[in-house]
Amino acid sequence: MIHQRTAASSLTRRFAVTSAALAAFALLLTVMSSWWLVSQQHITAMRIVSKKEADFHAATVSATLHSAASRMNEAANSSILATGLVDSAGRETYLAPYLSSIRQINGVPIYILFTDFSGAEISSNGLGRFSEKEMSWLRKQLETGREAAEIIESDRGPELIAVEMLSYSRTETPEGALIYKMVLADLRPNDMAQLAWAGQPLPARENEDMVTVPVNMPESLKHLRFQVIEPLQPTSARELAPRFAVIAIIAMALAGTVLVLGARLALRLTQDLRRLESFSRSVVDGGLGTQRAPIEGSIEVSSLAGSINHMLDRIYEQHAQLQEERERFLQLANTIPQLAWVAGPDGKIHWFNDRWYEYTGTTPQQMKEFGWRIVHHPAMQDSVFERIREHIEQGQPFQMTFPLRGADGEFRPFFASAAPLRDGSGRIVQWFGTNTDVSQIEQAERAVRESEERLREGLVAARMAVWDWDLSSDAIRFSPNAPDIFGEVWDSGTDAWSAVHHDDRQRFQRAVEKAVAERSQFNQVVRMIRPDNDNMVWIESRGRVISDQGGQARAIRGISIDVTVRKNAEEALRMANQRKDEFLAMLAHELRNPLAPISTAAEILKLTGPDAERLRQTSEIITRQVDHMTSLINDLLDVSRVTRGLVKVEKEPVRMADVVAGAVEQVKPLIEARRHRLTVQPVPPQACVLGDRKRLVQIVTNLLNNAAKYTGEGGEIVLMVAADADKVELSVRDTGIGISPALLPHVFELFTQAERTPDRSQGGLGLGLALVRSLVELHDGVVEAYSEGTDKGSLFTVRLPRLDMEIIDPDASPVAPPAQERAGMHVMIVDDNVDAAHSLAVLMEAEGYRVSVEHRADTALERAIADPPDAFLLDIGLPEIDGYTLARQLRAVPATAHALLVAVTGYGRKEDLDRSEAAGFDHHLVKPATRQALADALARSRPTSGKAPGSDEPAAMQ
Amino acid sequence: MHYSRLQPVSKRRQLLALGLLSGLLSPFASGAADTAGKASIVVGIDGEFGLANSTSAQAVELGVRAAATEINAAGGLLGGRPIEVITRDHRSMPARGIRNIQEFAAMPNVVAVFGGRFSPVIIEQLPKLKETKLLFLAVWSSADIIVDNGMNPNFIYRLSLRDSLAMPTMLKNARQRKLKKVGLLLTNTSWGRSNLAAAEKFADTASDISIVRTTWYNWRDTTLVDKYLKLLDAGADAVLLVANDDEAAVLVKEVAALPKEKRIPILSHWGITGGEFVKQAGPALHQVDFSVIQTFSFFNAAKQPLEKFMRTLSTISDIRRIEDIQAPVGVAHAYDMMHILARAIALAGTTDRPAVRDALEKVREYRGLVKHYKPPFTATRHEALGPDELLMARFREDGVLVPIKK
Repeated sequence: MIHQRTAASSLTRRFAVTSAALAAFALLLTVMSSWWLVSQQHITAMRIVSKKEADFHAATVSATLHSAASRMNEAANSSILATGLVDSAGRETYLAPYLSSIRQINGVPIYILFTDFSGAEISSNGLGRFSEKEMSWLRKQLETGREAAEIIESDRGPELIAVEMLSYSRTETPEGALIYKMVLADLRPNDMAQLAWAGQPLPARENEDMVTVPVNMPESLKHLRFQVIEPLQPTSARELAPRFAVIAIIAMALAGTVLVLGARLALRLTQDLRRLESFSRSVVDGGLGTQRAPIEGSIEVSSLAGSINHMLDRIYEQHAQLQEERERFLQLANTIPQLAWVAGPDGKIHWFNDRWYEYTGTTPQQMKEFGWRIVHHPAMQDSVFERIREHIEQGQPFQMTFPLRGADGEFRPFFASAAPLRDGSGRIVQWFGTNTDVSQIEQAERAVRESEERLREGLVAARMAVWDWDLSSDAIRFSPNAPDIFGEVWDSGTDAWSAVHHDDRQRFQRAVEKAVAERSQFNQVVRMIRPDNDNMVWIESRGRVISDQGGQARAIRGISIDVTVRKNAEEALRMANQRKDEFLAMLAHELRNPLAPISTAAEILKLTGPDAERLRQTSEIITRQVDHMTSLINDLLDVSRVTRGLVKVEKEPVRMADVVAGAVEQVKPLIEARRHRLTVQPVPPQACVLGDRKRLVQIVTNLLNNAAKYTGEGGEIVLMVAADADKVELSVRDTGIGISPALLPHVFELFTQAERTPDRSQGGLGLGLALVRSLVELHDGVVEAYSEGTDKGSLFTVRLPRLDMEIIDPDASPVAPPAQERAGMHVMIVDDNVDAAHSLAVLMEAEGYRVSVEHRADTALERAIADPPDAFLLDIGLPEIDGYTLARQLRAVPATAHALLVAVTGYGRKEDLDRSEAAGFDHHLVKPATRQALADALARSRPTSGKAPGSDEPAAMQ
Repeated sequence: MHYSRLQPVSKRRQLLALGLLSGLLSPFASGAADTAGKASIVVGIDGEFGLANSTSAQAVELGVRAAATEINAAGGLLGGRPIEVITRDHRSMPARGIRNIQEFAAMPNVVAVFGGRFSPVIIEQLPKLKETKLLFLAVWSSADIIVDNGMNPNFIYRLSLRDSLAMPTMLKNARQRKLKKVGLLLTNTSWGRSNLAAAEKFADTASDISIVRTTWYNWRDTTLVDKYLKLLDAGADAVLLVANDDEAAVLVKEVAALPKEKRIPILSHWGITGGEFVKQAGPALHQVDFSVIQTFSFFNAAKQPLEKFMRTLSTISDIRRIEDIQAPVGVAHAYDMMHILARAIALAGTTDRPAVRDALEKVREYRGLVKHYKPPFTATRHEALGPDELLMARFREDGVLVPIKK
């Protein structure tokens, strides 16, 4: 490197180069000034030539314009044009030739047009047309009557256009016009020259390269002030080339001579200096020793040698001191607990302290160059190395953490810190760094973090907030999940109090005050309105008072849990329980109600000698009350079975018209009793559904019953059925007591019932609507209730899927003959319950039937064969031989094969009905069978009996 | 020859203008009961109103207005419709005249248009007149082709001189005066050529008179004496001049400046009487033997129509003497023509131009200023005047044109 520098700028060479450069510069100046002078003279000469040429061109243009102007003036005043203006005869023979003779002025084409007073063409010189723009310009001039000339833009570029008026002394207006134009491009004397005129901006390149000469204009065109603009004759470099070549050759010869002489002189003058230089090179190459520079040559060089010797002495001294310092530093570095190292400015570590070798178990040999990489974790080695390299490049102190392998093979995290050491000029001389084992600190931190995380997750899962309330400052701090629970957090206890529901606040405060006074705990459940969504939440708060060393209450720490879900569940449970209790109370009441008249009636019957009229009244009371109780129990059983999913519906195509008719018939007595007005809208024929006819009737009946019950006497009930493409909608509207908004959501729930009103004579268990909903749902339908409120009436709507077919109207049901026709009919009652059998027998006899009674199947069969009855009322649960078997036997005997068999039993399930039909029964009545039901059953005799007219269809089971 | 462009308006013209104004108003004053509120019948005049020093168009207007005043005073036409006069100026320029015809033709209520003095203008208008079928009444211009225009039916009528009659009359007059060698100095227009044809035709048949030479002057020429001298050199002892007032005045002044032996008689066509020829020629006029052809002179007019006319004139102008009537032929022709037109309109019962045109051929007679027309026109004759009316006249010392006693 030192050698290079010597070669690059030896003093001798500097002398030589500098003197040569100075000489070359002087030469260059001379050459340039000569060059400039020659060029300048040449340009001046060319300018004079160009000016002369431009003057000549301007004169040419001027001559052309003068000729044109005078020629046109002459033509305008000629008698030929004058005659042409007043006499059209033959003018084509003289006008056109005359004008055509003027087609060029000094070789420049001129366009001429001769017009009348209005600008209409009379003749032209046939050179070309005038544009509409030019003609309108002409007409404008004719209006003013003034001769004019202008420059107008045309598609051939700017052109000079002018008009000469043909005037007549006896009129005050121009009577004709001679208009002419010349294209400016044609007027230009040569291709380089340009024409400028008044009002037209001069060409943009207006500098000394252009020559501008005004054109002497004819009088009529004077205002246009033409100028000829021409570029200067270009200076040709080729012309001057020989002269410049001579200058260049002389200059180069001079430069060469100066260079050689300068080099020689430099060598001689620097001889002694070069000797001193070779000494100092030997000192540097050979290391520090005791050499001394020879003192010889010029004064300056001798003095320099002395100085060098003095400096060498000082360097020897300082070197010894430095060695000592270094020893002390190494001792210090080896005693500190950290691993320490020193690196060069390029980051290469060249020294490690003893602690390093102890911890890593490596040797200085292994650590050479970048040997330290082996103690880094293989997975992180590259990234750590890369980051260290970046920091070294930036030259700033840095810290980082990475694992280092110990002698035991285990990696421990180390915190590394390094800083550069700079010299006086700010250049980095070396790096000093330490690595500190931080494995224990990191473990402790991680444990704390994980514990906090678990606590936080626990709090969130439990919807629980933890808080700490400083009593002296009123400051309160919440765990981070508090906003999730409260909807807000508060900084002070006072603010937090305000969030508590005002009904609970006093209680809560008293509990807290008590805990503070007793240095104890509190546990309160209070309501709060969340400020973010205004929802009410239930919060359970538990707190413990913390006392200071003097026993004074200092703070309260506690938790708050959102227990809204629990509270709501408790409330729902409570409500359900309450409804059940109410229902049971009502059920008891409803069941007890008929018992009272029945009991009273029984007492009456016990009295001796009741007359027939009283007997009938009493039995009617009992019958009515028993009917009522039966219906209550049927409803109860039905609803229980339906809600428990024990009922299956037998689906068949059903016309809603039939359903409505059936239901109306059933409800009629109640409607009439309460003097309601029932309006049934006509049912559309396409209103058909797939369903269980009986259940559908039950749905409508219940809705109508409900309407009738909850409407004051003389109310109005409207039943309407509508059908569209895919559903049938049945609605029942009444003018009754309506449903309060609070009740509306629960109206279809079990045991729900409106409050009784004094005039409601009909009781009920509140099962009807629950049953309706269950049955509608079994039919894949929806039922909805609507009311505008109490005393505003109600509307119930049932929507069922429509069956897309029309059901052929079946024949009317056979009309049962009047019961009187049955008088004298022989009926056998078979029942092992003697009371039941006898009471039924009394009833039947009272109806006019001939009755025989049996209590066993075998005796009944015997007697039937002996005296075959027309009909049998058979109990199913007979001892030994049951009702089914008896029925089959009766069917097997010719005498009773066609008799009417009616099952009268306590079993009323679907399976029971199916079994009795299979056994040959015609009808199946469930006990207690009403008088009407018995009469109806007996009225429908078997078809083969020949006693009843009508269809062949089997009578429906009842 | 230079004229100043702005001629001072003479006092006489001012008076005339005032008179015309009162003429416009007077029909409504006198015949108000009959004509007020009715749609007017419009008569147009296409003339050289704006030509400096010219009085011919104004003379035609005076004649038309005088007749219109009389007609309106008598209760108008077609059940009380008044006659209204509209004028258009062509300043003797054909191009302007053609535009005027176009405008008149486009006005639906214009029934007919009276023409001015300049034959060249009317000749240039002919194609437009043929195209528009505008009823045109020539009361001064004399070129033959104006009436012999080839239209069928012919929508042009003339109550004026005809060149083919004027030239023979002038030549006969020369012959009478023993001026056997004539030179022609003509305007280089269709009018000039029309007269050349007429003169040559006459000379071909006459053995005792010859045309020694013909020279032409152009529009705007400022001197004519060179042409005159050429005729003189050719041996002419009289010059037949076909020119208008300005050029003629130039010639008269130039000839008057010549030595007496070079001043030969000049027989002029009548175009010179339509302007201020007398005033422009000045005293020079009486240094030259100058006579001019006329169709009519108020000095020869029948007494009864003249008196009526002068009465009317006194109501619409300041003119009280026949000597004060400028361009007298124009006034008289226009006056008579307007009356004949009125009769034709009455006859047609409509202002429809073709109907009125037809009716003009059917007017039986009219006793006018110039003569007793009986009938004025026929289907084959659209010229109201004939050779019998032609006469030569001279300018009196006071400038008034008077007939030369035969």
